Amino acid sequence: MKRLFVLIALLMPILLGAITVTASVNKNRVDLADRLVYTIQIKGEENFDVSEPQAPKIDLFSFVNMSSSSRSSSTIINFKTRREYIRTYAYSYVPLKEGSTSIAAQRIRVGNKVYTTNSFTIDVIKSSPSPSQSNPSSPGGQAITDPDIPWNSGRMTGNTMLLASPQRQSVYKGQPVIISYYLYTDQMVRSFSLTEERDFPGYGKSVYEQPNSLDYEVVSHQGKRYQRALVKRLVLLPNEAGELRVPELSGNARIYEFGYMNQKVRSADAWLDVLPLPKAGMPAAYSGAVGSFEISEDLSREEISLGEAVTFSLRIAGKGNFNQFGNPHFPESDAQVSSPVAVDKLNAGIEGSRILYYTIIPSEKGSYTLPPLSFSWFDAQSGSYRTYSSKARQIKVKNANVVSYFSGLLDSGKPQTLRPMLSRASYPPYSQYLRELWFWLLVVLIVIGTGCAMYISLHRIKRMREPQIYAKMMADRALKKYLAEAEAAARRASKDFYTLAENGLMRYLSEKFEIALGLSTLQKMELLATQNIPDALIGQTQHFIDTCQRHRFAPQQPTTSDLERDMEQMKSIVAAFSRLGGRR
Amino acid sequence: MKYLRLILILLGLLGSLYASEFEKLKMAEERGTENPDLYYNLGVTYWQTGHSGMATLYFLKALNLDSAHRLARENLEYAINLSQDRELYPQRLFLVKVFLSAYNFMNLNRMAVLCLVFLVLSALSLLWYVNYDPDKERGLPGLLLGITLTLLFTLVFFTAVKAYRRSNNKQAVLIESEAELREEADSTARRSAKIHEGIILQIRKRDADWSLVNLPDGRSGWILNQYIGMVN
Repeated sequence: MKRLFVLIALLMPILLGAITVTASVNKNRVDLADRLVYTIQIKGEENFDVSEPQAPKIDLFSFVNMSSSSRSSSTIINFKTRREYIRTYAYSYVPLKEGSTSIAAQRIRVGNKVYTTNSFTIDVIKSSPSPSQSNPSSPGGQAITDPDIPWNSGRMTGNTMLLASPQRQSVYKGQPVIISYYLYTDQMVRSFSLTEERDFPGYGKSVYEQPNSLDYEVVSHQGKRYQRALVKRLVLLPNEAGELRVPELSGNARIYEFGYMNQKVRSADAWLDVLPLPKAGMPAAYSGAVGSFEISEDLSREEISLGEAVTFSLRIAGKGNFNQFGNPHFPESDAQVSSPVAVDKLNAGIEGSRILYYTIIPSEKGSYTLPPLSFSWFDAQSGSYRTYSSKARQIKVKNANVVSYFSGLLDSGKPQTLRPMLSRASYPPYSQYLRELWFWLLVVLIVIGTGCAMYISLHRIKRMREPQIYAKMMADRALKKYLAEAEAAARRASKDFYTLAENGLMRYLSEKFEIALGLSTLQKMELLATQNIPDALIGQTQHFIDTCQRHRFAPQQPTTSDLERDMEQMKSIVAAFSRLGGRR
Repeated sequence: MKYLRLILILLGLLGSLYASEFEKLKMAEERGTENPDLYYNLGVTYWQTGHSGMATLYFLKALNLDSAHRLARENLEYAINLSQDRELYPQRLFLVKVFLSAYNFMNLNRMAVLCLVFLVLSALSLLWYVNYDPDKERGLPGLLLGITLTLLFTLVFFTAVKAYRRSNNKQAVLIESEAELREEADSTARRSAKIHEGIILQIRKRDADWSLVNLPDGRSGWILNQYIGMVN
C-alpha cells in the first residue's frame, strides 16, 4: 500500500499535465537576527497561467517583502525539443520572538487545477554567534539532504575538484572521443558556473552534453567517497597523431559552509594517445570517414519515362566523424547525376544518420544501368578499412509522352536544394483581408452605392416612360408626407390640425399643379379653375380652407366631432384631386 | 517602480538579443503571431536540425495562411521529394497541375481583392444595362453583365471554399521518425501500413488518443495523436 502511494506521488506530475508546484524554506531553524525565505516554485512543460500566490501568514514572523521571477529553458535531447517554464515566488519574513510555528500547506491554482504544497515546521531560536543549520531544503537541493553523501556537517573545509574523464585513452586520428568533466566534492556545492575553456592544438570539438543543474551521485575516488556531478561533455575529433591534451575547463563553485563562498576550480590535465590511420589497405576512394557505420540504399523508381528523374539515396548510420568526411560520388555514366543532397539527423555531429540523395536523369531511352556507388571508412573497432558498394541497378527508360513532357515543363523549377531562411526583423500578424473591417465597409459601400444608383435610374426610367403615372405616384407620396402631420394633430384633438391641414393641402396642390406657394388662396383657386378641375371640387376645397382659417382664429377649441368631420372632408378632397392626375 | 520597469524592459531586450534564432522564432510563435514568413523560417530551422516532420508541418502552416508563399511551397516539394514515402503521393496530370498552380497563386487576399474588383465591374455593368438606350439592342451590356456576374459568383464561391478549407484544415504531418497505422484505434489491432516522418495525412476522425487518417494514396488507418502534428 505504501509503495502504491509512493508510485502515485511520483506519477502525480504526469497525471496533472506535467505541472509541479513545490514549496521550500531556506532554513527550518531561524535565529532572531536572521531571515526566513519561503519559496514557491511552479514548473511546467507548457506555459501556464497562475496568479501570484498570497504571502502565507506565519505566526511569530512578520512579512517583509516578496520577489518573483520567471524563466524558461529548452533542451534538445534525441532530436526532441523540450521546454521548461519555471516561475518562482520568494517571500521574506523576519522572526519576532522565539518559539515553534508552522507554515500551512498552500493551495495554488494553476490554470484550472489546484495544487497543494507541503507544510513546514519552523523553530525560532535566540541569536547565536555560531549558525546552526540542521536541514536546509530547497528545490533541487536533494543531494544536500541525502544521508548517503559523504558530507560532514561538522567540518569547516573540504575538497572540490574538476576532473576530465576521456571515454577511452587511445583513439585513432579522426575517431570521435567523448570527454566528460565531473565536479568531485565532499562539500556543499550549490552551483557551479563555467568561466573558461582553454583549448590546445590537435583536435576539433563540439559540445555533446551540458546539464543545467548539478545532479550528484556518490562515487569513490582514490579511496575516498565523493559526490560527483557532470558539468560538461565534449566531443573531440583528433586531427593529429601523437599525444593530445584535452581542453581545460575552469569555473567557480559556490560552496555553502556557514555562509556562501566561491571557489575557483580548474580541471586537471588529461591526455589522449592518438594513433595514425594505417596506410596499408587504405581504399583508393577513402575520404576520411572514421567510425562504426551501417549503410543502406534505396532507389525511388525502376521504370520512368525519358525526361523524368529517379532518386537514389544512400543512408549512413552509426557513430563517427560525420563532419569530417566527403560524400561519395557516382562514376561517370550516360545520365545526368546531381551532387548529393545530405540530410543529417545527428547528435553533436558524431552519432545518428546521414542520408545522401542523388537525382539521376537518364539521357536515352532503353535500359540504363546505374553504376555502383562506393563508400569506404575506417572501422576503429576492428582497426581495418571497410567498403560498401551499392548494387548495380537497372532502370527502364520508356519513351517520353506528352504528359511527361509537359510535366517536365512544370517541374523545371523543381527545387534541388532547400531554400534558405528569410531575413525578417519582425513578424507582424499576417493581414487577412476577409477579416478586416475596411474590406467589408468597401463591400457595403459598393452595394449601397449600386442600390442608390439603381433607385435613381429606375425613377428616371419610369418618369421618362410613364410621366402621368409617375406624377401621380410622386403626388401621393407628397400627400402622405405633408398631411401626415395634420392627421397626427387630429388624433391628438389639437387645434393645430387646421393650420397643418391647410398648409399641407396647399403644398400638395402647389406640387401637383405647379402653383406658386406665395399666392393668396383666391388666386390659387383661380389658377386651379384654369386646369380643368371641376367647380364642385374647387368649391369644396375653398370651403375646407375657409373652415380651417375660421377654426385657426376661433378662441374656443374645436370639438372632437368637428375634427373628425373635417379630417374626413380633407381626405375626400385629396382623393378627388388624386384621381385627376397631374400636369407633369 | 518606474526604474524597475525600465530595467526589466532593458533586460528583456538584452535577453532577446542573445536568444538563438530558433528561440526567437519559437517565442514569436508562442506569442500567437500568425505569419507565413515566421512559419517558413521555423520550417527551415527544423529542417536544418534534422526534424523533417516538423519542417513539413511548418511549411504547410505557412501555406495554410498564404497559399502563394513560393518558398514554402518549393521547400515543401523538396521535403516531399526526399521523404521515404514520396511514392505514396499521386502523380497529377498536366492540366490538374496548371489548375492547382493557379488556385494556389490566388491566395485568399488576392481572391478578396479580385472579388471587390468584380463586384465594382458587375455594379457598373448592371447600371449600364439598366440605363442603356431602350430603343437599342441590349446584347452587349447584357453579355458583359452576364460575364462579370458569372466571374463574380465563381470567385465568391472559390473564396468561400478557400476560407473554409483554411479554417477547417484537416492536414496533419507525422513528426515521429516512423509509425504504424492500425486498422482500429487500438495498439494491438492489425497493422495496415508503416509510414515515415514527414508524410502528410488527412484527418478523417479524431478521438482523444487516436485519429483516423488518410494517406496520400487513399489508404486509411488509425494513428496515435501524439505522433502527428496538426496544421490547424
